[in-house]
Amino acid sequence: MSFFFRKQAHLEAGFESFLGCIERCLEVFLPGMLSYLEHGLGESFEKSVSLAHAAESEADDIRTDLERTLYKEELLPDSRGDLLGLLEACDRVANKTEDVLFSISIRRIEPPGELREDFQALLGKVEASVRTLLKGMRVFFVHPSEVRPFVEEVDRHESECDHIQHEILRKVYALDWHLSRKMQIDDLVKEIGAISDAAEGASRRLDITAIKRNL
Amino acid sequence: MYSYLLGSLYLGWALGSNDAANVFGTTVTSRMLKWRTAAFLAAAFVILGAYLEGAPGIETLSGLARGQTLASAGLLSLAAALAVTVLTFLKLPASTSQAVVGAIMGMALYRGQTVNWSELLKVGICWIATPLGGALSAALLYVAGRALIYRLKINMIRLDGYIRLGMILGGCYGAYALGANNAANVTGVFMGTGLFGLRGGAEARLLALLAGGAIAFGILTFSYRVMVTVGRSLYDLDPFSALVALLAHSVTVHSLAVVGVPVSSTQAIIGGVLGVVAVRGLYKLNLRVLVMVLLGWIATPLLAGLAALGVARLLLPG
Repeated sequence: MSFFFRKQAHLEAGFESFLGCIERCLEVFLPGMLSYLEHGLGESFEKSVSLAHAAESEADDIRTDLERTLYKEELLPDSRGDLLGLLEACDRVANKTEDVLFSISIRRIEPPGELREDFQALLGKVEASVRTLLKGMRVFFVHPSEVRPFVEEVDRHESECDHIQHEILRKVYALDWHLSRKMQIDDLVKEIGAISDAAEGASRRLDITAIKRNL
Repeated sequence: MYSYLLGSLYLGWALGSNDAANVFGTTVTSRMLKWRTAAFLAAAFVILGAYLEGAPGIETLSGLARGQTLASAGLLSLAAALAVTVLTFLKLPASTSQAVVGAIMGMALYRGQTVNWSELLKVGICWIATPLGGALSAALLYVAGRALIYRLKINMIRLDGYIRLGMILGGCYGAYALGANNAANVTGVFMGTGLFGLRGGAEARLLALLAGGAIAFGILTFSYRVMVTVGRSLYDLDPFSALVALLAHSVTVHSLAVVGVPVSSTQAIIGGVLGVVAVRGLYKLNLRVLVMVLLGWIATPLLAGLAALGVARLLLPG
C-alpha cells in the first residue's frame, strides 16, 4: 500500500518541511529584530539577515518542488488549486520577514531607541499571529473542521498588531525627530505590520479551504 | 436471422455511451483519469460483469412474458430502442430497463401472452428500491466513511490519494455492476428463442456476453461527450461525496443484479447523490434534474409499450 502512496507521503513531508521553514524564518527574524532594537546595526544583526535569507530561499525551493509535484497530477485537481493557494499565501509571510530585515540593513535605519518596548510588543503580536497560523495549517491537514478557532485567533492578533502600530506611529510623529527618521520608522512599523497582515491573509485562505474540505 | 438483434445491439450501444458517465464521469471530468483509460476499464469490467453475473437478470426479463419468438423479441427490442432514442432526443432521462419492460408489456398485450404479474411486481418494487437503496447506502457509507477518516486522523493529502484510488476502483466496480445488471436489458428478451441453438445457462451466458460487448462498444465509441457534459451537470459534489455516491450506486446496482432485476444506473446514482446531500444538509442537486427523472420514469415504460404495440401491429407477421 505504501508503494501506491509514495508520492502522497512525499507531499506530506514536503508540506511539513515548508511549514518548518516558515517557522525558521520567524525564529531568525525575531532574535535579529531584538538584536537590532538592543544593539542597532551590527555583526549580530547582519548574521540574522543572511540566516533569514537562507531560510527564505529554502522555503522557496521547497515551495517550487511542491508546486511541481502538485502539478504532476498527484492530487485531486480541486485540492491542488487550494494547496497551491495556501503555499503562496504562507510563502508571503516568510518573504515579509526577510523584507523587514533587508530593509533595515539596506536603509541603515537607526534603531527607534525610546520606542523599543513598543516595538517589542508589536513583534510579540507578529510572532503570535504567525505561530497561530502555522498551528492552524498543521491542524488543517488532519482536522479541517477544527481550523476555525485558529483563524479567529490570527484575526485577533492582527487587530492587536494594527492597534500597536497606530500607537507607535502616533508616538513617532509626536517625537522631536527629524522628519526623514520619522518616515523611515513609519515605513518600518508598516513593514513589520505587513507580516501579520500576510498571516491573516493566509489564515483567511485556510479558512475557506477548510470549509471546502470539511466532510 | 441475426438481424433481429440489431435493435438490441443499438440499445446496448446507447446504454454504454450514456451510462458510463455514471461510473467514470467524475473521474474523467476532474482529470483523475484520461477518458481513454476510463473507457477501456469501463468496457472491460462491463463485459466481465455481464458474463459472470448477467444471467439472473436475463432469466427475470425472459420470465415476464414467456414465449417470445425471434421476431417479437427483435421488434420489442427495436421498440425499446426507439423509445429511449425519442426520450433522449427530448432530453428526458430514459431508463433502458424501464423501456425494455414497457416494450415487453406492450408486446404481451398485442400477442395475448400471459404476463407473470409476480415477477412484474418484483421488478416494480426494485425500480422504487433503486433510488431509495442508492440514497440509503450513500447516507450510511458517508457517515461511516467520515467517522473512519476522523478516527484514523488521515492526512488530507493521503486522503486525496485514497479518494483518487477509490474513484478508479469504484468506477471499475460500478462498470462491473452495470454490466451484471443491465446486460439483461440488451439481449434478455432473446432468451428461449433458440437464436444461437443453445438452451438454459449456456444461452443466458452467451446472451449476456453479447450484451456486455454491445455496452462496451458504446462506451468505447461514444461515451466521451456524455461523460463531460452529463457528468458535470448532473451533480456537483466534493471528491469524497462523489466517491460515496459512486459506491452507493455500484452496491445498489450490483445487489439488484444478484436479485436478477435490471434497474436504472442513473436512478441509482441520483439516489446516491441525494443520500449524501441529505446527510450533509446541503442543497446541491438540480431540482429540474429530479423532475426530469420522474417524468422519464413515467414516460419511458409507457412510450416503449406503445412503441411495441405500434411496431408489432405494423411489422409482426401473422
